[in-house]
Amino acid sequence: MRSWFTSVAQSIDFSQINRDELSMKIQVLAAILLWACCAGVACGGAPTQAAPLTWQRPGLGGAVRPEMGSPQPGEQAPDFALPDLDGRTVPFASTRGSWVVLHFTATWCPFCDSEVDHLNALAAAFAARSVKTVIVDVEEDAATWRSYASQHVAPPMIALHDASGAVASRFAPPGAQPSFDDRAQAVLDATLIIDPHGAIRLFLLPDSAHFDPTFRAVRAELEKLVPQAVVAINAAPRTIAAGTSADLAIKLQVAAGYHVMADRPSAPTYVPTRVELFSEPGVTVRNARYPEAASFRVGDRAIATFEGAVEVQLRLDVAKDAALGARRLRGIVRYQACTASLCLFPSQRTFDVPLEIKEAKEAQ
Amino acid sequence: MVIEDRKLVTLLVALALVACAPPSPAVAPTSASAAEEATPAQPSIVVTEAMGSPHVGEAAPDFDLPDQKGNRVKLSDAHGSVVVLAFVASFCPFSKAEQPYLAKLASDYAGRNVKVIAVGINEPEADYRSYLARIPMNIPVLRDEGGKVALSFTPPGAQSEFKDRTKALVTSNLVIDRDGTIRFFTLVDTVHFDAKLVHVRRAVDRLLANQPG
Repeated sequence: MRSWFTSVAQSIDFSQINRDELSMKIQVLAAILLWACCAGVACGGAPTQAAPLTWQRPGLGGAVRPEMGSPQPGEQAPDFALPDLDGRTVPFASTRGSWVVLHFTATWCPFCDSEVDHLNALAAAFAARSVKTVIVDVEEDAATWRSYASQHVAPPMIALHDASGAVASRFAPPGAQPSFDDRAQAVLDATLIIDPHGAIRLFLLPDSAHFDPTFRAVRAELEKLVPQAVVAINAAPRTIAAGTSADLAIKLQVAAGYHVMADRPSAPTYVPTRVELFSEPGVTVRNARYPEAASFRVGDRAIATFEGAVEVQLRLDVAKDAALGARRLRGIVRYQACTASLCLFPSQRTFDVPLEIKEAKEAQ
Repeated sequence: MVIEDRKLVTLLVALALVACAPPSPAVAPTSASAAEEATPAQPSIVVTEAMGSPHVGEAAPDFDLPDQKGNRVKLSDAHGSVVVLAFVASFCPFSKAEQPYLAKLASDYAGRNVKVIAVGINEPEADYRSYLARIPMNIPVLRDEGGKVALSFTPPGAQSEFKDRTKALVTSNLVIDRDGTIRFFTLVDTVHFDAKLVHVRRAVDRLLANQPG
């Protein structure tokens, strides 16, 4: 457009025209300018070829479309609270601040059943980026779901149960599977990505013509949407016998190009890296042991930092009379990260460690 | 001259506004009820040669299964009739949505030498009975215990990612001609779902009019 405009302007030879003609040509020029500005400004310089709509992109053929109604991408996900496998009520709002992958399932659904192993893998792969994966079973009795989930759903995936389908039906846009009387079933096998503010960013219904149980398209969207964490936290599940002590490693992975201040920083104003795991009845956590710090040079100063893989050791004392069984220890990592040229605000991330306490004899 | 120029300016401004109009969306927003009425332009996922056998153009495998009254039903006994064969499951919401239209198809084509047969795939007896209890079924609903018949109709490329192969044909529909050749064979398309069996009816109509495939 710009070159066409230039050629029009150049075609007007100002030396050979009289006053009236000049006046007319200036007006034409002004009009062309106005058109060019409007086209450029009001259209925001939009590319002439429209970007493909979500459902036209590979693997996203099942995407909820605007004409299906609410809820849909861009809108707030309906709030809910549902019981987990232990019968404890989990409010969905407790996931605020994290990216969430939400998947609706039923044990009889052949699409769902072919996907569940791959959903476990997705949950594990993205947990380091603080993505929470939630699977909701729809309209089945608790015993059926519990027995299926105990075989097929692994941590860190969170398994919830929507016995009546009331929650699922609130997620079903009216135009999705309008021939289904039971609205909860319209979102069976649906997968959503929900952002840390609770807004839906991706909403896929099953697409049997392009069935991919490995969630390639969902993973690709997550890669784009969820920033790589500057500090990823990894704590492997542990089994410890009652009445014993054990070391527990919390592994931090500092993203390439970044460093965090060491546990004993070079200046009192620097924010030290701290890994804390909270003691609870029967389990006492003793002070963390940090690795040797690396030295990061800034001009003529050397700053004590951690880079790359950082393993922090904690010692757990499990009391003789500690309650046996599975529990999750809660922890927090505080740090302040920098690159060679910029520093980020001090930050903190929470994490869980799955812990199984066994009877003394059994574990030794 | 000045007036002419003003016209020109107006024209150009109008042009500019046209240029600024947002691109029209590929799918015009419609109400949910309109979506319900919509029939997909294309039939569901068509089972072609690329998926393996059996596919459209091949002979349908024969079977001998009990119906809800305990009568044995053989596909080969339907020789000389156009057969609509539907694989159904009590759990599948797509099967449930199609169920009334399957019954309606049978009554609409009554007396025209069209046989409508449903096969309930590999389900416990109670679940098979729950499908029958939903609405009165005027067609034989056969019990395929173990899913052997379903498997004999399942081409290797049909939902090849399913862990349970007996489920690959749930809510699939076939139309078989008077000589036992498959003329129409689709898997359920969850995005372009044809609950009212419009494409099945078209295939039946073509065969009744003696038109090829």
